[in-house]
Amino acid sequence: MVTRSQTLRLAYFSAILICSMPLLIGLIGTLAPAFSWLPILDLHQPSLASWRHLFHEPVLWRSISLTIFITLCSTALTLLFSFTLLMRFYNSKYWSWITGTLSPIFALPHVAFAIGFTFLLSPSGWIFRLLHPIFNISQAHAWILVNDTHGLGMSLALAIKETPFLLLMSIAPLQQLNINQLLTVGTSLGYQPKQVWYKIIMPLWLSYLRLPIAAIIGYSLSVVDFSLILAPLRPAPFAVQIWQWIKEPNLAMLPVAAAASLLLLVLALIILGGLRYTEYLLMKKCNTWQFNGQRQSGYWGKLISTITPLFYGVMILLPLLSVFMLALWSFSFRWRFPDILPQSWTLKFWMSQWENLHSLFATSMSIALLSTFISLLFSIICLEYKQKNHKGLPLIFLVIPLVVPQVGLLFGVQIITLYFPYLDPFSTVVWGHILFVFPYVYLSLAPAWQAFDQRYLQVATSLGTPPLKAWFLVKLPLLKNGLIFAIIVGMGVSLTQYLPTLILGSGRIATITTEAVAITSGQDRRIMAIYGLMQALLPFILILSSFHYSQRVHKR
Amino acid sequence: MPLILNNIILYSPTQALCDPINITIHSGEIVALMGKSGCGKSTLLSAIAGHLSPDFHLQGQVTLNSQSLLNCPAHTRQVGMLFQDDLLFPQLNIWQNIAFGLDAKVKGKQRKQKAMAVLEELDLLEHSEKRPDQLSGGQRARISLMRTLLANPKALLLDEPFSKLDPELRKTFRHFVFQHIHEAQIPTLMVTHDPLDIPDASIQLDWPNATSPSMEASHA
Repeated sequence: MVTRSQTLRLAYFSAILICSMPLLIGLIGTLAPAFSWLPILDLHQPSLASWRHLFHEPVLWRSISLTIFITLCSTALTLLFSFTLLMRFYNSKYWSWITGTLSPIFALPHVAFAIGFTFLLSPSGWIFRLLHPIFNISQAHAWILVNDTHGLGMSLALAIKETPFLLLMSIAPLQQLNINQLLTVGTSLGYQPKQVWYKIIMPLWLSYLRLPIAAIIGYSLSVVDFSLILAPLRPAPFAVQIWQWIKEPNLAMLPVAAAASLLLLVLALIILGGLRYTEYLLMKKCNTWQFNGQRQSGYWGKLISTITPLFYGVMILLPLLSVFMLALWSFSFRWRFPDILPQSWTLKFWMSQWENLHSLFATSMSIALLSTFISLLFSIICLEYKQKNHKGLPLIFLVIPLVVPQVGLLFGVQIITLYFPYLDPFSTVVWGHILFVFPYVYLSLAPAWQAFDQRYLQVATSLGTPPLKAWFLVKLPLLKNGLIFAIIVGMGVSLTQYLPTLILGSGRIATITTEAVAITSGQDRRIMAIYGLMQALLPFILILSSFHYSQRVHKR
Repeated sequence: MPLILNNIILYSPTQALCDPINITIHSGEIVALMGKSGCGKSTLLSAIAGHLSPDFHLQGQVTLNSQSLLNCPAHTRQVGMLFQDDLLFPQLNIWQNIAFGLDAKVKGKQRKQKAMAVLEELDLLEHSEKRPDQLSGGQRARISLMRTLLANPKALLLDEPFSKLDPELRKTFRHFVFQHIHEAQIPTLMVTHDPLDIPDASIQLDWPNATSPSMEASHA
């Protein structure tokens, strides 16, 4: 007879196993080919050949330096935007309005935003149509922000997408820090509020946001879908370069791609370590600036504070206009260059895509539902185990999928699946999604479990209800809000996955997201617009409803 | 150099919280304003320091050294404030917290020397490199006061500064505070609900509850 706690332990370890297997497999599947051990290609002798090949690739260093530049530039912009917005608007009368605008921007998928961004800022984009009558320029090659060689447009677009994320992640820590009290103490010591933000609040804020910032860095380093649309093409960022090697029909490039994936992982670790060390140096080691007594802001402080509303304007206007562009283009028939609006409209393109969209929706939703519910089940098991045994899930399981470059991880998994040709692509895709959905679901669910008062269960069982029945009748209904929130977050994450679907589905599983990216390499802007809009639609509905829901719960 | 409260009335969103308050506090003098919790006395201190929450409204005049305070930004008012919590900054160690209060004119190594001198005076020198949470509540309270006084405030506001300390500590810390206020020769306004907090040589006033009868009802 197996006891209930043994069942729970068994479930817990199976959940961990299923979620950690891709990590382990990914590592083995990348390490082995990188050192030339890939029996499927008849490579049996470990060697450094693939590394030699990699280091002789002419694009390697330019591609890597481009990636480093984009990562550092977008992270710096994200931190600048987020901190200055907090400093200027936190607890002001505009603050609740600003937080209300964060969720929709956060919910806009990267790919949809990127498509809209190209419609705005490419040489024939809408902004240049607006400027045309003023400057009479036909093509604004001087400052293109789409596929520009330095990746400036890509960095800006990334920062715009990541700023709402970082701000949303800041809300809880800032409440915990009791900002108003810190400001009161600081100003009563004669410090300008701005100086209190720099000297006192910023170091604390950064220390609370290490994980989200690491996730942003990991994402900027390894994002492929977004880069395919906005980043420079030749050389492309390193993750895109690796992806091209993986896709190459010449299988001999696989070991090189494996070595490159490892190199990207090392790069990620170096950048994360480097930035953590910089934080330590500036905030902890060389921190005299925090207590040098300087109470007034200098010239730069004033300048930044003056232009902060502009940051907010950029952060809100570009996504808004991007979606507007998608809508315009999807219904346009003829739209010549300098015209601000299309000359004629049509529903033709929507009709032609309708059937295709229908089946893509069905696939996307079934993957999202399955992966979310399995992740939810795993999360509940882990949280129950934690509550019973006071042993939390090792943080590493949550951190690795958030921070480690997706392309390397998935590549390793794919290499292993080559050995199991009969594996159903649909289930491998669901499994791949679970890997990335699970951390988000777990993190969204954990606060609800922590807040649950165990005594409700004790009361129920002491009234004679069997434990399992009490759990379903008492605990589950009380945690309903947390569960709904976690489901919405999980589905939002699953619906926007690109690489897991493509790599693990071996190209045989198509979702709205993979189609939206695939179509951007074609020429027809109207079709691009339709897929961009559709990609944005589902997560948008989901996250808006979660926002609406949380507001309702909040008001109660 | 007195701190003068002239015909002050504090309003909550719905009604007046007090009858007009008129207080003049001279240098080195301590005025203790007694009131039940929730009567608005802490809000009055926030208003004087420049942090009145937008829900409240203050009518009347506050002058310090014959300058009107209420229209100045908080950081230029030179009004020091001490709370129930010590509010030492967790990322700075003890001497750095003290140096935070020093004027910017004190530069470089001198800042540390000055901070260390203060710690020596308090007999806390061996704790200089520790984090605030490694010290006892009484030690932190003393450091918090010194940090406030080092910023050379022209007036001091105390918001139930002793209420979180246990009775034994409370007595010694109270003595410590009043001795330093006396040395600094600045006007001090203290609010509290506990008669035991009030020093012998101080002026004691009661919070003038608004005479309108609606107030109690709305707070229930």
